[in-house]
Amino acid sequence: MKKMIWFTVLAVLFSVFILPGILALGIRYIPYDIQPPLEGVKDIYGQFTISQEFISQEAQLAGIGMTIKNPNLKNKKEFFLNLYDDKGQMLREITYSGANVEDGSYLKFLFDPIADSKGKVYNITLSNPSADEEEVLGVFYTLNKPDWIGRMSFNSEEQEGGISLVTFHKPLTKLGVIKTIYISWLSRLL
Amino acid sequence: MKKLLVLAIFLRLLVAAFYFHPDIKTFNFQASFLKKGVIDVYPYLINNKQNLPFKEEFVYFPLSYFALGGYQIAANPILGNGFNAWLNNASSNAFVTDPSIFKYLIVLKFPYLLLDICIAFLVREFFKNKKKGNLAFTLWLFNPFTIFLIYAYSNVDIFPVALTLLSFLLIKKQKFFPAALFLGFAAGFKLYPLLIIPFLFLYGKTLKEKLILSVTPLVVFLAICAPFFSTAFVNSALISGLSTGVFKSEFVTLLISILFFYGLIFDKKMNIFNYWVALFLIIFSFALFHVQWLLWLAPFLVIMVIKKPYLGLLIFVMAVFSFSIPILYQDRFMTLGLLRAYSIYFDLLPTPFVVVQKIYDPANLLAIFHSAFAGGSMVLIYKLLGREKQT
Repeated sequence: MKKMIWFTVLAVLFSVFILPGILALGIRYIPYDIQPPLEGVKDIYGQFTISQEFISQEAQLAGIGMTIKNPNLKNKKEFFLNLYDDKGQMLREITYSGANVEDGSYLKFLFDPIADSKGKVYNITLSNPSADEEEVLGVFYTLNKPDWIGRMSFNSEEQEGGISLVTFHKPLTKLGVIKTIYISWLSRLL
Repeated sequence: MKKLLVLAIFLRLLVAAFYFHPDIKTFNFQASFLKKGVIDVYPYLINNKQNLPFKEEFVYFPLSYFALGGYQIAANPILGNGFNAWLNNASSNAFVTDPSIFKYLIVLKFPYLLLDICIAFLVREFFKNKKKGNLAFTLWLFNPFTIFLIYAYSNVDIFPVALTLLSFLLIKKQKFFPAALFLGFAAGFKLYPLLIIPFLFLYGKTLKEKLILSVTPLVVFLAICAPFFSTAFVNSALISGLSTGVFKSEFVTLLISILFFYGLIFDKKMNIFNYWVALFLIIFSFALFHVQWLLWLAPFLVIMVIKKPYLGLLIFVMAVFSFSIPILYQDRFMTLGLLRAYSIYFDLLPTPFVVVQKIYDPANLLAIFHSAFAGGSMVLIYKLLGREKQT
């Protein structure tokens, strides 16, 4: 029975104190902030595109996450996210297929990290050029955007609110991720 | 023994505070309507669906609602002012990053701790030999399976589990009427204890015993449910997937029938304890079960391991397989999602299902684990009802 007691004590202590740290080693990208509330949808298809300006709050910008609707999973076409710098120069292009997008799914557009992204202004454009109005993709936007999310344009016209997005950043070290997780946990605990 | 108990409680508080399953928030949100004076929660949740932040129906039976809701009323001063806002917060990220989440989790899981300790004492009572009783007490308190089943998965099934164990203890002491009453009360929380009723009918030696054991739980259950009987209650609780899920597999019905006819025709010295274990081993072997359901059997298996130590290894291996099965479900809250109270960064990790998918079909692996568990179960049932019974 002593062995079982030791096994249980070690299993619990490991699961509570060590396991989160070990699992954190698998985290490749860290989000900045939590996703703002989803409060509306803009449909993109054909020439209807949506653009969003934002300021990267961290270095090593490596991805953008957002929630996309694909009603009745009708869209099977390719759609694009293009990332531009503040001078309008395209930095990255990520292609997705609508066939892989479930209705209301949270998509992460991941790309090669941009090392010196901290504090810089970027612009993204989402387009779904080969889809018709039966194959729209809905991009969720928010009316309660944080300061770092700037102007949103739909078909080149400025709109209220902003795309409900999250930026992802490649951590500089694995140890940094573990430290962030334990600090976040302990700061709420103490 | 006291030191062990203190250590056991400490370990439980650690898991209770830091592991978060969203079920605890959902059913406590639903139970919170009791303090607002809502007695019949079933139609209330359906009629007010449009205005509520969570749209789920209440799938448990009335005593779960009153136990959880009543406890919330009692614990309200400790939970504090922010608790209701936390319960109503539908932002999946905001409520796990709330600094009070650890306090809420400990307070909400505190009744589980009391029942868990009660179970430890009940398990001890199954033994005349004090030393063996203490061993069972210790094994219940010190095995990681039940700690995680109860506290990580926020297992509300601990209410009926404690009551069914008490019921079986009373059956062992030949106190059939109170045993039947407690079984009925257990069903007032969740339906599964009623599955044993046909076997209790067989177990009774006289017609009077048979009727007491089989009719009383049903009457108690119906008396608990009668005031709430409505379309909403039937659809939300009585015929919900949670209540009828065990019969989705034809094998389950077939094998339970075989077990019944075996008891009816061949088993003249029926051990109802063994039938309870066999019944749920069959269900877990052939139906897709919720991990929380494993608790239904746990105290009975602890007793069995102490009574028949040579079954210990088999039961341990089966416990490992039974835990591996739900881990492979496409449900984040079986694994990584439980760590969201530490950090929402764990949302970024792929689940075991996705990881396995990269090298092998997870459904196949799940089938292998399930078959291995079923194989172990069949051996155990054979040992319990076959030759083993004679020794």
